Amino acid sequence: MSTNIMIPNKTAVQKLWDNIRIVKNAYDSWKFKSAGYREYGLYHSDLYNDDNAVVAEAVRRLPEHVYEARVHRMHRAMQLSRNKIILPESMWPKEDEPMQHYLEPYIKEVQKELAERAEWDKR
Amino acid sequence: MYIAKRGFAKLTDTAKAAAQAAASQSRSGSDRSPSSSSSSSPRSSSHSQHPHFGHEGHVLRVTRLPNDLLVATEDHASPLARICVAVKAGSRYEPAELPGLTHHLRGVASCATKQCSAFGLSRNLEQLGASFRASTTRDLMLYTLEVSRQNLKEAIKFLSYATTQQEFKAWEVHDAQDRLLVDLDILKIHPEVRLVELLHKAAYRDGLKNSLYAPRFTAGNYHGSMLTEFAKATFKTNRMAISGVGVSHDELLNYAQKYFKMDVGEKEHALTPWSAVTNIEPVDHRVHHINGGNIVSEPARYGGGEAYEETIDCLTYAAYVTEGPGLNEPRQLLALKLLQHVIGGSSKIKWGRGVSPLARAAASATNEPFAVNPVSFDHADSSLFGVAVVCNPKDARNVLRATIDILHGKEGVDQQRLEQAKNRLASAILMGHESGAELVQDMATQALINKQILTPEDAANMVGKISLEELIMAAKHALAGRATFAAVGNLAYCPRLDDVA
Repeated sequence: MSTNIMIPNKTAVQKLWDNIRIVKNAYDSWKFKSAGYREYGLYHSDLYNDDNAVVAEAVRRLPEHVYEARVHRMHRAMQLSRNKIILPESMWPKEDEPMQHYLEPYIKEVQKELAERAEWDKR
Repeated sequence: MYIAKRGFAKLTDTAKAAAQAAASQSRSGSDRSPSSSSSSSPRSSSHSQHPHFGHEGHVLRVTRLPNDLLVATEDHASPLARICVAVKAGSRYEPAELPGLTHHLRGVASCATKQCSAFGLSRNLEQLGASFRASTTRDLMLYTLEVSRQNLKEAIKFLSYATTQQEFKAWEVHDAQDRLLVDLDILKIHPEVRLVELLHKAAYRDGLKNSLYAPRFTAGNYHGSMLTEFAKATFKTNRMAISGVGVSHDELLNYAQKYFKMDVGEKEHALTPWSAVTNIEPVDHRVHHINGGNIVSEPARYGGGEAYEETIDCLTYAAYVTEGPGLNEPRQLLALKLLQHVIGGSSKIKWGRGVSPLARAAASATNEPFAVNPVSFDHADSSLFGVAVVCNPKDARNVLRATIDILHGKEGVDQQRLEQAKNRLASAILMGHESGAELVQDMATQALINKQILTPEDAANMVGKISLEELIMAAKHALAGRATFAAVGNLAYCPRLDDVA
């Protein structure tokens, strides 16, 4: 049962980086679970505070349905916190869900635009 | 993030550049063909010291690229290069359910593109000393860039981003509603513009009835995805033309092939395209599909009719028109314009009312101030030809009757008046195109609409050849059709169409 597929052996450096990645993923996973926001049904991006001008502008740019979902989740979390209960485990958001970081691209874009303005103002 | 790496040029740099350009100028001068050098040598000798002028004189050159993009240039001895990109995305191609979409498109002309942000676009153009404006006619969307010749190389990139790689971000379209509302407020104090829009609404049955201005309820209610779909359907190279005045043909061809390709893949974005970035499912039920991605071009359908807008005003603005030939029939159209100059030219003296037949007829019908003009609104395959009147409301009926009689030929026309009108029309054409800005937009318009581009000199020559019989024939043909009547302002005493026709 010999095959023609050649799988190259990994170098020592590659193996090292693999191990670091495993450790990092485990640490990230532990961080996510212990942070405490997923029990209230919040995403990572919901934690950004609107008081910051950059975040406020990013939130303004969200599509309507995303913004409304964000507001709904925040209201639900506030209600749960007031009543000192948490959601059932089936409703907790998953770690690998892409919606966890829905605000990141908008924040990056706003930061890019501010940096561009600052760069031009320097001249 | 593109930032022009150019400050103020140092004196040594310009001197070096001037020396280099002068050297290349003398080299290229020897390569010129005999015919062009004989016609342009007097000019070139006086400009040989000038570093940036390698012009060919008033020679019109047109090329159609393999992707159906038309490029037309007239290389004048001008330090300013003017480029106009015309796209068949005027108000007649708007989808019926989305009135005013092209007004929104006009408002976001300077907004984010795939390669640079709105701020970057305006700052870079400002740094290069360029001016960029977008205007819409009923047939076309015109984007004009005016920049000095040496900066054209950098500036034309931004023109291509703004015309072929628009991004239409949802929040920018939303923010542009302020500009839209300013436009609509300006419209409130210009009843004559509202009159023209009303006239088209009454006269045409299909696309041409669409107004250039959006209805107020659309402000803030149109989504970027609608604009994206519209642009995808209309901004195609077989619907575009680039014209240049003050730039050599080879140079503009080079830019057209390099930048106006319209097939920028996702990988070539400098900024991350929004479709690739966000993992969010677009839940937008407001997106309209425009005939499956293709705009169907229908010929203009003229119907005629009446339309009125009563407002609080001390004047009546009225217009009476019939259908005439479009820009695709230049000779017939010029004959009608000649008729315009026969029955009435505008007064050349300030505050004067002129001695044209129209002015005299109106003056006999009213003692109050008035303004009477022959008008012609030209589109690709149809035009509206007639008279427009502004007068005291009480005298509206008499003034309109008198001027429409003149329009229908009450005073007649003879050879002498024809010659006078020919002179007036020829000089109006030539003087109107003295500015390169008018010329470049006209060239781009004609490139898309006609099979051939008429330069102002060609048009003036054509005018000289029109005979009296041709003029009378054209007039009879145009005035035989069903009329359209529109009025704006104080309509208390305004007659209806059957009262004046």
